[in-house]
Amino acid sequence: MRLVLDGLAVTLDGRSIVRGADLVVEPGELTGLVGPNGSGKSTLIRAAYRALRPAAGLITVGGDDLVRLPPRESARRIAVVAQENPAELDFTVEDVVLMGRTPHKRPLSRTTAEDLHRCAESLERVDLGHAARRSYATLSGGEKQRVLIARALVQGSRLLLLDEPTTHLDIRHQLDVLHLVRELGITALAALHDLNQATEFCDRIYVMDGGRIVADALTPEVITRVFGVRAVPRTQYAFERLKEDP
Amino acid sequence: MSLETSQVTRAPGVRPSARGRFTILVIVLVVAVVAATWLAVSIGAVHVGLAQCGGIVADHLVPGLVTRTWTPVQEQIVWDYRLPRAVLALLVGAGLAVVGAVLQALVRNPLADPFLLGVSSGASLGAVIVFVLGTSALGGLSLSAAAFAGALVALVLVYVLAQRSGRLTPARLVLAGVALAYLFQAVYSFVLQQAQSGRAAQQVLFWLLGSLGGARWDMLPIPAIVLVAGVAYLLAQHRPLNALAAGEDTATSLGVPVARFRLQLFVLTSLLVGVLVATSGAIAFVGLIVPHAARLLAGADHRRVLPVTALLGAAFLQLVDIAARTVNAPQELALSIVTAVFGVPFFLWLLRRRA
Repeated sequence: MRLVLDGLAVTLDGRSIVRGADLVVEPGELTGLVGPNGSGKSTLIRAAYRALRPAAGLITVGGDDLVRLPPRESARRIAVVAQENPAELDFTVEDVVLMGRTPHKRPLSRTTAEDLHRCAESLERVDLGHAARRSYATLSGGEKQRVLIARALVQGSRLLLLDEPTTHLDIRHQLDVLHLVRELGITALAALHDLNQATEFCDRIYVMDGGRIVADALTPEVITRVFGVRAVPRTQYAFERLKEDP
Repeated sequence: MSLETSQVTRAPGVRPSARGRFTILVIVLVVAVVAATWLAVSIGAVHVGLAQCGGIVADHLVPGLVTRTWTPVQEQIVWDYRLPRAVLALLVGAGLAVVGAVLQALVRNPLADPFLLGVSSGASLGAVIVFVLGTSALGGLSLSAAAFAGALVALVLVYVLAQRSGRLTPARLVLAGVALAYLFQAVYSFVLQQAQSGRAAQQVLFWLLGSLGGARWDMLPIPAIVLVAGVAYLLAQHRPLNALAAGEDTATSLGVPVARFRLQLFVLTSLLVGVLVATSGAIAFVGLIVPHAARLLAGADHRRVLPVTALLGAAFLQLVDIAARTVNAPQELALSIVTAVFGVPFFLWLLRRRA
């Protein structure tokens, strides 16, 4: 399912955070969104799942105007893995994953055997089949992210938005999460802060700066201009380190 | 793989199957509610045996079903005084507990209680005005009606202060509620201080701390209807409630229209609190501790939490009212005194457990 942002602008408390962003997420691809802190990545992602209302511009998902879709319908098309932590109340892993069925349920409909089956299956896919009845709050950061991915799978949406899914994770779990998204082969847009990870895992990368999309590829010039650092190929980086510190 | 039959080794934080236990839990709680109510009807200054109580109730429901083994006085005491009071205890206990559970999810704070959003202070102000200045002060409104009117005024004021272009955020809701509660308290404290009669002040204090002493059959239908309708609506919304408890953005991403849903919850809980406080005063701690106890027993999923909370709240307040009537007989204790005696230690234990 294709996601298109056309001239998206988002204003928060009178401040313009995203200004005229154009972006396309092609079906089947993992699209990365990188940029310095405060460049508007999270705000853009939140607008793309209706947590924020656009001040201007158009978001279409599968060809339909997002804000005109009923909330349930947009949730059936778009699932989200964000940093928000649903741990205030002591939900079990199973409770959290089953929340993914919310947009498919009428008020009085019960949780069916099929829902439970989907839940168990999704937890198996993120390698947490053993943890269904554990308390979500007691999981590690990496396990929590995997539970949220399982919830997105149960939601059955064909588009996945990830808002800095690897922040606060140690390096191994960061790679686990990105590998998992890759393996699932689902259409996804991920805001990432690690440029190396973005280049390694994404099919296409958009670069944000000051609320605008300033590039649709991560070239050395872009890195220098946007991030103020010099991009060095890995082999050369290792070589230079070796010269400095024999 | 079937979840019911999978063998799970118990690691820390693992719960046993909640599904099978839930049915048993509900049955146990229903039995507890019935037993506590039966006991409440039997106990008092005039002793009426449990069998006689059962007979009196059966005779009223199906006349001529059982042979009369009781005196007309006993019948009058049980049917006209104790039973409506016991039923009111169930309604108020269940209602306050459910409102507490919903508000804890709505503002995402485990320390929320039904009196957080200022509604009960509005109700108290209405009641105090009628107590001290007489029914003519508010155009002939009775005590309950004045309390409910005060609750509605508070509801509207909190909404006006907390909303921002029609949207309610938990933080603003709590701030507006707490601020208004202080304002209402200041006003009714002033009215009380100005009151001529010390007797009125004492009565007001007793009412403010909660009492079921005024229960009559004709005051039960309204709270009963509001409670049943409210709990039915909330049960139907258990999935959006779970999503909202997980966070605003999460709920949005799961297709919950958060702004509209929050407004519905705010109005519903405020109306419930208004109706309940109008009948029984502001009974503290029930709405704070019962939802936590319910979650310890049934997990966090609102489909299980809401019925368990309602039953547990009903049974708890029934026992509290029995204690309030008997501990210091013939004098009655205000219910908040009794709930605090049980509530505060539980609350402190909970705080330590979370820390």
